[in-house]
Amino acid sequence: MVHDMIISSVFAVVQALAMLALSPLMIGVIRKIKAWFQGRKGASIVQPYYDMAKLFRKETVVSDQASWVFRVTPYVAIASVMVAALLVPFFTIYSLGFVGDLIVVIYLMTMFKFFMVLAGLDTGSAFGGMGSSRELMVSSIVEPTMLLAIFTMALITGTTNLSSISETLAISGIDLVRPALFLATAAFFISLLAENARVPFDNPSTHLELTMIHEAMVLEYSGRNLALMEAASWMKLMLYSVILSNVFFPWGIATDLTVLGMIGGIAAILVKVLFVAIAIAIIESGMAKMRLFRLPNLLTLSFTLALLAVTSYYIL
Amino acid sequence: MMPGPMNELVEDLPSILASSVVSSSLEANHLQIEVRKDALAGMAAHMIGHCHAWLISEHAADLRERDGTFHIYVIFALPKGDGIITVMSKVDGSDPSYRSLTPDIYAANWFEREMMEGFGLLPSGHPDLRPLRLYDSWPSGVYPMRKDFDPSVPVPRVPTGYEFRHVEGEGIFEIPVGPVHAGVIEPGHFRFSVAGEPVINLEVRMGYVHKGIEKLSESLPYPRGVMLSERISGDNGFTHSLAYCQAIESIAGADVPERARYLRTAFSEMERIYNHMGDIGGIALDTAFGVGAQMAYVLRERMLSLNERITGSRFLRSVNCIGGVRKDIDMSGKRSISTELIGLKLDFDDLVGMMTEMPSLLDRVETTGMLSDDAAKNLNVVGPIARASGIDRDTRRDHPYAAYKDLSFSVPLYREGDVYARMMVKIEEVLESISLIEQAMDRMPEGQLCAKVVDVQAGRIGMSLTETHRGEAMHWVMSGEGRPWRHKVRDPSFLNWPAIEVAVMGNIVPDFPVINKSFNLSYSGNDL
Amino acid sequence: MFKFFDLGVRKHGVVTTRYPSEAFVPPEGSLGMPDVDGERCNMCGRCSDACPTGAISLAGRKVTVDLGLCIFCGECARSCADGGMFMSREFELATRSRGELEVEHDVKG
Repeated sequence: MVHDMIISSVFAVVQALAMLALSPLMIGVIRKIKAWFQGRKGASIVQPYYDMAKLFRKETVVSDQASWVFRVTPYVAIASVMVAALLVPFFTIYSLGFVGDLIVVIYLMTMFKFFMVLAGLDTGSAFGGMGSSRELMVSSIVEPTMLLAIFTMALITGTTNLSSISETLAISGIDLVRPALFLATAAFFISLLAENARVPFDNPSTHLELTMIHEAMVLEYSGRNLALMEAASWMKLMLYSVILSNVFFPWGIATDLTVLGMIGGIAAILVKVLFVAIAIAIIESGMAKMRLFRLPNLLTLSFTLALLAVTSYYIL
Repeated sequence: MMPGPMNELVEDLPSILASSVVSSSLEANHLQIEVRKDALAGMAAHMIGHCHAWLISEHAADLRERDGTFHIYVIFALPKGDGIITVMSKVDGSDPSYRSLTPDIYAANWFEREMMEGFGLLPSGHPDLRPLRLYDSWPSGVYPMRKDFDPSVPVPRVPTGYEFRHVEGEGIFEIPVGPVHAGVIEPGHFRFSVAGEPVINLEVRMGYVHKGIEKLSESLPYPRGVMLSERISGDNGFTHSLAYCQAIESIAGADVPERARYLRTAFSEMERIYNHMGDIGGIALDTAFGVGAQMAYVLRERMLSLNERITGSRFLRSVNCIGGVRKDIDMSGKRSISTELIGLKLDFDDLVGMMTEMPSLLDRVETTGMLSDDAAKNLNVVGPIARASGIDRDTRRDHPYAAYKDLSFSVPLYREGDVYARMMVKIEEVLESISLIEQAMDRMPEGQLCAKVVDVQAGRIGMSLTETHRGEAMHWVMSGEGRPWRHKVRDPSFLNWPAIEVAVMGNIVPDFPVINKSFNLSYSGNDL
Repeated sequence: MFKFFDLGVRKHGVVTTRYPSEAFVPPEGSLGMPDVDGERCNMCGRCSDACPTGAISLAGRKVTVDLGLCIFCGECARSCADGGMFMSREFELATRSRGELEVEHDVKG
């Protein structure tokens, strides 16, 4: 028992650090693919690492209207994503899932968002406030959607521990595959786009401060604080992609401690995350950003899918 | 359609106005009427209300050295036919005030503020006398456009305030945007009053790139003035300098060679194409449709490279000169242009097909930023913005210049007045421009490039209207000794900026960048 | 549905180049930096008079062109009768100090 806990803890830390190290690469790949669609060569896929290094060297300027919330938020952000990363299976099924289950993970993300919303309001700038209010409008529908989608998986596998969900689904082959799985995946994918400020919800590369949702809350940050906020956001995208891959389609994940299993697990998760990145890039290239007040329509669609997923579990 | 109705115009004046006419003269299609100061507002209202004329400009000139007065010129264009009417009044230097035209003609608003700021001419009855460009620490009582203002003496800085319009109410807050924007764009300040997301009021405050162009022009000999006019608003430099050259040429009575006229037409249309490509790309970019934006920018770059191959300058600088043009298009140039335009048209059709069939993009641009045709008429907007709101005016057709009267083209007209309509007007104008260039290349006769113009007589007035890609630009020159005594530049953006305040009402804040991009106005051309 | 791909990168490929590692040469006649042909210049000073911003100065046997004042209008080249002043196609003109923008040319002719 203690032996298992030690192994899980070690792997959890290794996996969390690996996710942190790979998240800028995922962003680099998305940007490169988008650039290719636009007919450009684009920046190199390791450019986000250089950007991060550059930001750490820059000066930090803080508005004199800001309170402790503004200063503390970057640290809360990075801390909450790292703790959540410890609870999520990456290339093995081992994680600290026995300490916190899927509800803890979702709410760690929510704590990150909560602090970011407050920080957006804290400086007293109009753009931050607008970004915060839009973010809350979007997340008021996204959160129940995400919870329902993951609950579907919990229902299918009988546990709310993310590692156990992965393990159960991976070991059982195709026995547990049902329509609910696909509906829940679709709902979760739309939530992923919404939570991580991708098109059609938000344009991550815009310079127009009046249209920003996520970027507007981060507008006032500079230097090291901005580096931490960016790293946390990238890590959040990586986390959501990993949850999408390992909770909904965990086949290929390493279920034991064999070297072959490990290699297979690493390959599997990298392929899956790459696939998610390509999907995001294709959607971002092929669609325009939706009008702000049409976003609830799309979000309600994803909520309906999640609801259907749960009910179809009982009916089908 | 010229002298007849214009002549009758003076005879048809109601007796109150007729009795105030000091003199009138008709030269070609330009009617000049001088009236007494107290009848200026009435005459202007008559032009707008009875003759349905369009206000081109209202400006002043300091002629106190000559006869102790300021002259106010109000210039109108008749809706049909190529008729221009100038109504002039003399205002005594000792009593620099006159009755404001703004209560009857809303479009006169900014012109009168500009005259107040530059000359100190007080428009009595004007609803809003805040400074237009010199609001930041400029002392009152110092009027830079007067002849006794010495530009070499530094003006003391005096702290001043500026009152924005306030909207009171529950849940209303103000969002100040700019002049420092989050992208590399021109500076301007937008003060929004919003209730959540919908915009209740927008106030636009420009003036951050005021360079004193009109004053500077008074010290530059005419050939240098051409260079200055190319740089008033960088991306319509060719058409602005064309208007300046044409104004000087009309004073000197110069006869521009036929070949030069056709070349000027071709270059002007090339300028229109690359700018419209940029605008269409801008709308795609602001709605986060990256692929479409990049395609449009690639087409724009191809046009700019073509410009450079033909004239040596990507933005067609140093091409115009007084009397004609400096750069020729030879046989290989013609072939180059032809090939490029054929390729451009095919790729442009692809882009347009993609953008007009994309539901997510169409959803953003339809019914956004509507400018009703009433508002458009009252504000006297010009250019594609006017043509998207049902106003059928195009300087190339209504007041032909260069070679336009020999070429055939149609003017696109839409009625909805939303971002989609403006985008479609620009798309159709690109296709018309391609056809115009091909026609000009075909019909261009052999001949000289530039007529020699040496003698520009002093004390005469010349005016020219051209259609830049943003709309009608006007250059009005009163000649002095080898350089202008007064040079009035009226960029189309000067008329169109007030229209944004109206178009944005009722839209939500995130739609403002798309609306602003669909107008695509020049901050520099407005601020001069 | 995939028009953005068919009409985009599939039709045209990647159109950007790896500048500055791949050099770019502007076309013939492009208005770049005003350059002096030391053999043909006879120090007549017409270019200096023609320049609208006063960017050209002549002293001794040197012609100095101040690129910080130059507006690349081409008047100097146009006014030169001997081919001493011409518009080159140089466009990579950034320097790290204001002084370096004043380019001196020696005149031998």
